[in-house]
Amino acid sequence: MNNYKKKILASIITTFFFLPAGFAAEAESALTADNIEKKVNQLHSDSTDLERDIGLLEKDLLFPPLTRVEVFLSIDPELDFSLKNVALSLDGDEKSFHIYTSADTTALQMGGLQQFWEGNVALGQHEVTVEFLGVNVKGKQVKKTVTKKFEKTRKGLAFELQVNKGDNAVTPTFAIKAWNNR
Amino acid sequence: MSRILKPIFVLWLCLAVVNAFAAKAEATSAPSKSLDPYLQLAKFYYHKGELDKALLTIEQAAFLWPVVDTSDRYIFSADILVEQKRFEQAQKAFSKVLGNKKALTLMAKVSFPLAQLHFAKGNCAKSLRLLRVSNKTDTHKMLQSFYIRSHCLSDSQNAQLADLEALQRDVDDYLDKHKRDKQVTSQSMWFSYTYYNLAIAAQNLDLYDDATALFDQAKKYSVGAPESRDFVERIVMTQAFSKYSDHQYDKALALFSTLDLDGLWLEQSLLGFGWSAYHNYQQGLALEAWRQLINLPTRSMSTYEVMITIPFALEKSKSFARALKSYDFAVDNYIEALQEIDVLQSDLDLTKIRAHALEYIESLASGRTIEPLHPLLTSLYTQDDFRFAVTRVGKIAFQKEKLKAHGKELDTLSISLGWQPASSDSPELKTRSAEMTQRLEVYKKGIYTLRAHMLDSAMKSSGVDESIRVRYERYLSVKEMADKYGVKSERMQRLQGVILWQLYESGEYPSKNLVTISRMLSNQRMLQARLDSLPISLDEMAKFERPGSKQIAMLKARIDLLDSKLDAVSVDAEQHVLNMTLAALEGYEERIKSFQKQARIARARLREEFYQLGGAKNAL
Repeated sequence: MNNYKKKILASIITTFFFLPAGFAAEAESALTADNIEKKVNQLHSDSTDLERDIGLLEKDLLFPPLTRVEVFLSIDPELDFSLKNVALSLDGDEKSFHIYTSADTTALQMGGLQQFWEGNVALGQHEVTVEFLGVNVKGKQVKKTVTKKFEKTRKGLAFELQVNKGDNAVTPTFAIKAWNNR
Repeated sequence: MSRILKPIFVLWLCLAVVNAFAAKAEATSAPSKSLDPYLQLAKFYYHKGELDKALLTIEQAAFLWPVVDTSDRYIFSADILVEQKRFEQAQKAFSKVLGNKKALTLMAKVSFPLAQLHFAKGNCAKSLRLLRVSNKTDTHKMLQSFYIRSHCLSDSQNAQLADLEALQRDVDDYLDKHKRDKQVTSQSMWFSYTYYNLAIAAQNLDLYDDATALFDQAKKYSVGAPESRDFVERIVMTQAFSKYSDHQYDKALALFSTLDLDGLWLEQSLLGFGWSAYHNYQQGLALEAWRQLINLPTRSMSTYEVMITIPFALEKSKSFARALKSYDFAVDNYIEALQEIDVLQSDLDLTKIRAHALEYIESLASGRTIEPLHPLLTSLYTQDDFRFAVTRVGKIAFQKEKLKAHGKELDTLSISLGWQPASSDSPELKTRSAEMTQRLEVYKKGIYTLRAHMLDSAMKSSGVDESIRVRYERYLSVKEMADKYGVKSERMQRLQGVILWQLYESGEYPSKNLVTISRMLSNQRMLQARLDSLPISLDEMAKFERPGSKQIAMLKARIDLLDSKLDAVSVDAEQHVLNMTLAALEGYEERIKSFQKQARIARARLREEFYQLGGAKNAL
């Protein structure tokens, strides 16, 4: 191969592999890109702050602590159980029903906690009933209803619907745990 | 050849692998149970891929669920911000943690996410320093630290054999000790990335046999994960180029031929296959691969490069006539491409950039593929900077949509709280009030009629006191006159009541009926009074401020302000993408012009040589 041909070949390969590295013009505009990015990020933070304040105001006005009840749901990360759907009733009235996608179940099994329901409940005695439906590790359908009586006082109240690992690895246990620390 | 190819190729692959695969692997981090419910709530959104919602939950948690130690929340926020490449905000989150009194005890906790931050920012030295002092308590952190170390090693210009050996030993030992650990086996992709980077580092040190073994290890651990198929393709391609660099063209050919022709690396594999075949004295095979590249439905820069490569190879194999025809074909195509670039340069504007960016963002969310602004610009999308800039324009448009939705949300909130203007002038109130007054009047008349019947039946009984009977008769005659001349009925009703009470007092009327009728009358009066006072109350209430109304007005003002700021940044961001695109087009133009020049010179030279060798003009 003569020198000229070698040069052509080298130029072809060099230009091809240099392609992703970008062009000089980009280096010149990097400062602009940085500035824009800073502004956009600041606005993104402002937007999050605004969203936070709107959310808090909505919560305060629509669900004041006097009547507010929150219900969360968690799954034991060590449990091999595919939750299909959960229905929650309060004093016989159905308040919430959720069908679980695989993304929901994975997020729960990664240690996440789902906000299942939030609503207003009058002061006094009430009864919450939760129906769980899912499929266990052996592919068998598991259906369970759990009930809990509670008194709504002037304090905010929260419950956690727990799907836990039972005594054996196949059958999960279901519970409604009240958080009274607020 | 290998001297040119190796460092560029290695750098390109290393840069790309972080962004393409690391984010996905993050989602497989180990579950962690926390005592802070809002942190767990944020983790739920995070693992569902809703990063903004996760950040928002953490922000709200400070007000809804205050905790003594907020460091975990800040660290989690910082992790998300690093993932979103919002480094400045991530840095602020870290400084909030470190501003805490327990800074020293927290340093061990913070050093690992800080190391990730510096790694994402491209500062390997700082990242590695922090990794050395960090507390890698869980498997995920350990695997990520291997990945960061290997990436920095493969990226380093001064990598030493001892560093490579030490890291390889660490990874091998860890795998030996934890090969049955579920946490380790479920995250094997991290080992695949690590071994891949180690292979690149070995290749940089010209240790091709070691690189081959490490590439094989990378393939071994890249099993089961959804992203593994694409990654294995990448490993094979890199390995093939590695063999090519080591002049093992037959092995490179074998590896290139295993690559999927529908895969992500089609152009690169056809180009590499062609060059490997060419150097392996299989010119026919090389030309076949390059022609395949030219005949692909879309034309990229590789296509135009191959157009000049083909006649060069033909010339080398002494097919002069075919080489000349190929040079002609190349020159014609270069002219056409340059015209297309001219049209595109004059057509592009901010509106087109915005529309494309929105489409790009939507395609990312839905997972569908999107055509570039122009086929020639395809390779521009392989650059992080450009993708990031286009995404940024789309994100600004998305933020503006979100703001609009927030404004609507606040309006809905006002309506749901019954804050529609209400006063005594409201037509609805007037109608309803008139309707109620009419009903109360009917009720009142009913009570009086009932009382009249009661009095009438009582007077018909035999034992009524004579004086009461006389009064009753006088009452009846007066009532007749009053009805005749339209005198107000209230006085007559009072007289009716007095006679009834006299009957009651004389013990000739059952008290129970009288009490009932009195209650009914009292109720009617009360209702009438409330109805009468309602317009006054409403007017009074209108003077007072409703709870939350001030906050809503302030939030609406914030929305308007943010919206106008976004408008200003949006123009800058769109202009930036336009500049990048135009600069790229200019670069392509220059390169195509250079190819065109080379092809023209080569064609002229070849013609000259051909004639000198005795070729006839019409032979061409």
